[in-house]
Amino acid sequence: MTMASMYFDYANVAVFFVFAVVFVILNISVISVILRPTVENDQKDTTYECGEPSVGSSWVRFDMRFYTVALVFLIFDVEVAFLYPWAVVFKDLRGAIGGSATGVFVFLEAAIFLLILFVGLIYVWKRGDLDWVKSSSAQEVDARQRQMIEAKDEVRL
Amino acid sequence: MMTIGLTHYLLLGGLLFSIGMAIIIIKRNGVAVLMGLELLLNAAALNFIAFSHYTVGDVRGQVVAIFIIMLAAAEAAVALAIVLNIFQHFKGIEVDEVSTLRD
Amino acid sequence: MFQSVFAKKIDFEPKAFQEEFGSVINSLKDNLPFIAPELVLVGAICVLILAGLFVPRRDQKGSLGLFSLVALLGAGWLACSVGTSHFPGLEKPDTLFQGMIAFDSFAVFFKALFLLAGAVVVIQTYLSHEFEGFAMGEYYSLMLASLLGCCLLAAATDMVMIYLALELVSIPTYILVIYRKADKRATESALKYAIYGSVAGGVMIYGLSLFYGLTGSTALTSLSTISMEGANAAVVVIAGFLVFAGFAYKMAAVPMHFWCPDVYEGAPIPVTSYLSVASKAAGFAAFVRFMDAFGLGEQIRIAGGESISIQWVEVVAIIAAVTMTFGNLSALFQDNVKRMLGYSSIAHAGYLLMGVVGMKGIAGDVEGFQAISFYFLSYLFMNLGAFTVVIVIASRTGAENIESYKGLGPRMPFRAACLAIFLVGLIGLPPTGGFTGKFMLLKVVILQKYYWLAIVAGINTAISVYYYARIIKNMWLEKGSSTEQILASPLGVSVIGLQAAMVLVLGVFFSPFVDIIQRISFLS
Repeated sequence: MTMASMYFDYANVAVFFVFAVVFVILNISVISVILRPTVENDQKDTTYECGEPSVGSSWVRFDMRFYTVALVFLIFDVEVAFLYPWAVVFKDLRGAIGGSATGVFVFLEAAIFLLILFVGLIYVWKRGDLDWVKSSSAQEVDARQRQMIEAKDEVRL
Repeated sequence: MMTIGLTHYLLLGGLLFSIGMAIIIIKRNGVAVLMGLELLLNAAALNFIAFSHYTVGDVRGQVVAIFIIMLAAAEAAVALAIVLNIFQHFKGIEVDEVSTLRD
Repeated sequence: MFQSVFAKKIDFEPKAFQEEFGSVINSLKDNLPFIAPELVLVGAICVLILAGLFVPRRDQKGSLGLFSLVALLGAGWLACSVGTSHFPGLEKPDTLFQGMIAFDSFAVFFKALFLLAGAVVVIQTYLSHEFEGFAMGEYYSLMLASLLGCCLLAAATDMVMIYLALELVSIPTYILVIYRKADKRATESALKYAIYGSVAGGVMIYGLSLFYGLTGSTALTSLSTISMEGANAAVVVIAGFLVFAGFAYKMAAVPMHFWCPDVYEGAPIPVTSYLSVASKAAGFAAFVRFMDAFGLGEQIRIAGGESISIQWVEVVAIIAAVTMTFGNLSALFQDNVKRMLGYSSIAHAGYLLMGVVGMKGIAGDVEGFQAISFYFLSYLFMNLGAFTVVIVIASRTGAENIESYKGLGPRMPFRAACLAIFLVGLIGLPPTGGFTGKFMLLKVVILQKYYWLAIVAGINTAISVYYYARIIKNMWLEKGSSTEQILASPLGVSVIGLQAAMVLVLGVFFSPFVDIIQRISFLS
């Protein structure tokens, strides 16, 4: 590659760059101002929050329930990381030594892995952690446990 | 032209490890300490993958990386739950202030 | 510059890999019967999680506890019978799952030890007042999960397997420590435990990644092939110390011991007693295997070979001396029984490390790792026994302070006498199993010509008399505020009595047990 053609390549990039910058500025600040209708409204200046009316600052404490959902997601997210390599080699394994029996064995192994994780899903489900509004009985149990321990600690002190 | 080789990955791994260790030692915020921890584990995972690709040539190192990711997730889940509970008891997550148990 | 240090690249051939994988799958099928105890544990864990959801909460401590007890004893029986008998039509293998875990008498012995310790802890949980009205399905399943990790850790012969098993031991115990989540002390100790544990784990896996690069394999046996030339030596030393941090954390050895007293004080007492025996023993079992493969006699040479030249075995000896001295000196000034037993457990980690020092070389009738095995057998009964009595006292009187043990002797004569036996065993005086075990540890160290370490251990034993004897003195010689008899439950009395009897048997009629441990060997 000669020096001249290399500079030519860079010129290509430069043209693209200039075009991109001009295109964006032109669209956002010139053409849209000319074309759009201008209707004043306070609601338009507020922060967009998934269609909900926005209330207060965005720097608030998040609800504990987001955390529970994130945890449940995490389990099944990592599960996929294990199943992906398994799925990639599964097709080849049917032809490996032992024939289809080997394939069945490998399939069963993954099934058992999923079954153990499914136990976790049942656990979360039954405890009511999948419900956005937790049942009142589950909340009562938590509160009762807290009271009992506090009472015992007083005795010990 | 410089080719990216094993050395660069190892240096990156070492850098991640050092940054993670520094965060764990310096930061007082419980969640920040957990972030430092993730860096330690990712440094190890990066090393495993780099060695697996450049020197060893089997997939064992990559499989190990997946296991490390899983353990990082499990540890983070448990540790975050503990930090949440710390917040409820101590009204803050500064690690230094959580020290009622001492000699 | 690093390319020269680490092994050369080998080309990867997918087709050959597939063919190899087919035979791997077949060998997995053949290996399944040999991990029967672990499979029983996995099944029991799933059943316990689900049972915790459907059994009424107030019955859970008893019914689920009984189920876990049966599962643990069943798994322990399986571990012994699988370990000693042959399956018809199957050849007894040395290693299982492509060299991931070993199938040797060392692993079988420790598996049986963990499962027995787990069974005792389940009974302790039933005796404890701390879990009244709690959902216990998670508790028992986490306990069994951690024990599963212990079983795998004692058998692991692969670096990755060691790391995975170590984390499987640790992560459930983080949750067990904070099981009473409304308890402020438990919360604090769980934070310290989890952060120390995760950092130790992260540091360890980084060290293991360097070993993987050096050897091109994750098998422990490949560690002996590392050459200690040139730049290699520095990497090996760094990686060695990083990996040691992970083991030191599990064993509660200096300098990774800081979590130990806090966690022992904050955690529920049955969990403390679990941590002090099963998880510590698992760490030691893996450390013994690792050091055997790594080469204790290997010279550490830093900076080209002349400036510093010491052996790994010397490093371990120094750590052992520091650990036992630190543990004993700190234990002197404790008021809380659990905290004192925490420091005492650090001191015992130091004594046990003497067994690692005497592991190789001049073999007497008992080798170092066999001395460790025997010491853990007696430590199991001494320490779990002491904790059982502490649990009973805490449940009946709410007392955890050594001061409040005053006058307990006449109020609960049999149990207080048993506690005295356990404490005498922990000191290491005859006629208890603690004496026999410590005698063996000292013997292997002396055979190895580490006389100074034996002297340090002797001095430490003398120091430890002070704080153990203080409890005995408070119970029997001091007058308490009350003279009311403390209620005895048949289960508590019989468990405590059995453990005290075992401690005495191991101290007096130890020869059959010594015969057993002399037959223990492991792959190397």
